[in-house]
Amino acid sequence: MFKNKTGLINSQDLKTKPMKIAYIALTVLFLLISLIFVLPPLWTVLSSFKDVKEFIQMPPTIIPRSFHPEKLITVWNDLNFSKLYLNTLVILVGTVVVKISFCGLAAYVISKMKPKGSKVIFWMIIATMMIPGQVKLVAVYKNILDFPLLHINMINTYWPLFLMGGADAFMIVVYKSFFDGIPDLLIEAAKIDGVGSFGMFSKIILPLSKSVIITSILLTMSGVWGDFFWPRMILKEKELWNIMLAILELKDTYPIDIQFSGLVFAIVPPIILFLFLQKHIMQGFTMSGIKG
Amino acid sequence: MKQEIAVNTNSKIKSSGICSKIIKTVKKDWAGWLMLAPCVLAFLIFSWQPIVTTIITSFYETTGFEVGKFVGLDNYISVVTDSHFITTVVNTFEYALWSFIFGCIPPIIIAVFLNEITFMKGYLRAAVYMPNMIPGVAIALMWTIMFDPSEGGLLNMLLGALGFETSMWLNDPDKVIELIVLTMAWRGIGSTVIIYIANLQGVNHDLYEAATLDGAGIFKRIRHVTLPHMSGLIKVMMLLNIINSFKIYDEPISMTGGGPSYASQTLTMLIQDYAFTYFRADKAAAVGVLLALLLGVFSIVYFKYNMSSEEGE
Repeated sequence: MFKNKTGLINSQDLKTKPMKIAYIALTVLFLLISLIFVLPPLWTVLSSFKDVKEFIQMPPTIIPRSFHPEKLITVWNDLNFSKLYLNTLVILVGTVVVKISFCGLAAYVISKMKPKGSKVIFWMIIATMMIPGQVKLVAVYKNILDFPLLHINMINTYWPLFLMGGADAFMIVVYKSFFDGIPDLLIEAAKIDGVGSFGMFSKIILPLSKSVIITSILLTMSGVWGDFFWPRMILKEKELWNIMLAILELKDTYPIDIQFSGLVFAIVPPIILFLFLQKHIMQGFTMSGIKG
Repeated sequence: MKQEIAVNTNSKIKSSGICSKIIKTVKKDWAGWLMLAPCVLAFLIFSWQPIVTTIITSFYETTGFEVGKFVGLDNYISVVTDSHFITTVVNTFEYALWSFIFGCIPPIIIAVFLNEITFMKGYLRAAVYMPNMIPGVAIALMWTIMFDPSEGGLLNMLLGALGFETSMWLNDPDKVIELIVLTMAWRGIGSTVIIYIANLQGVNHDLYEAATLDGAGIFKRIRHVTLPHMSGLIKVMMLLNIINSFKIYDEPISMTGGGPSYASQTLTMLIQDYAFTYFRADKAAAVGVLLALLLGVFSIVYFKYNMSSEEGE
């Protein structure tokens, strides 16, 4: 059974019976540990199907007895989740576009074109990673109230959220470490073939960068989906709210069974995304995590 | 605003030589700089200029968001002598300590052993990582519901069924920080584990075999083969963990709002309080600079380790 196992615990160890039992016990232990991670979200989703009566029942039920999926539809309509999803999608698309075109382009210049002075810019970008967003809170807010040069008030628009995505040091590190891996010879060859500076990025580099673009989109997705700090500062009108702002409001103003249904709408989409793109997400994460 | 303009013109006069130099370098590689421009502008507006403004503001008096007269270190003094500040700093260090306990050691143990499990390997790794996908606020709300301090709360009921006393959970000022960090660790452990497991793929299995033939038990092998291989990454992850614990904001604001009575307030929350509850942008800036300095010390250490561990590889 364990004949070809190598590594820390290898087939040599697993020859004796007590070791075999210990190894199986370890496996069981990890299956139990996995439940700690899986059960709470699962319980939340299942509980959202309970009716109000079961919610206030004492003692409460862990496995719901009543099953009312239609409740979810009512909550969806009452809280206008279609609008919230749409708003979140708009923010996501705008942020992704800005991130790829601002950060991707900048990382390419820093990694491959290396104009004189770009190294200084790179270090100035890296330095910002160390400063928590709240430190410069008031100054950034002032810039949003009165956008530099244009003098436009950007409160209640998505523009600050999009543009802030362009000032993402982490994303630049992710892109740069990918571009660093593209051989310079390839670019030299294209140059000899007469490809210009802009053509190089759009015709040669971008087609090679599918994996890093997917990674950056996935990272942005989970970021945008969970973001509430700046949306709360900027989006004063309920019409413009994203999912998390609605969830945050649920906590204080709605009865518990509605809170659960709202939670389900916030939890389930990312989990579904994860189930389908698991390998990609985990690989992308380790790639960016180690280098970042 | 006026100070800024004054500073700008001053430096312009002084640095006209530097300016022409900058224009020269930009002209030489105009295509590259044109491609850099959007990102540089975004950083100017949302990062560099705000950081500089914050530092300047911390030395001035403000009314609303407008900068008034120069007051030297007055803002710092009044902030540091505020009793909430001390509580908040102590809290911040408490967050850091618990993040270290919950967030640093368990992932190492889990990663080392999880890497050895072959049965349902894909499921186990995915399960551990899965909470990472759920947004922090949703997780905070989910746990807040489970931490319901009444007898009908889910966890209280489980405790009751097991014969333990019920708990006040988040309403208990002595426990609130541990619990918040615990829910954060529940969410974040998986990502750290996955990074460690990726790192463990680089261990040469021949070393394990040789150690086994030499009669080294499993724990000896961990000590002499596994941990030395991981040590560089462990250092980096630990420092990242500490740095991130100083930035904690989302979870306490959505779980407790800093309560009960400031017991879970963090420095980042204090900045926001000063700025948008008391409308004291100057004091908010002073707290911000102090927090940045605190983080700066840890960041320098982090980069030192990061560099030396990369050289080691």
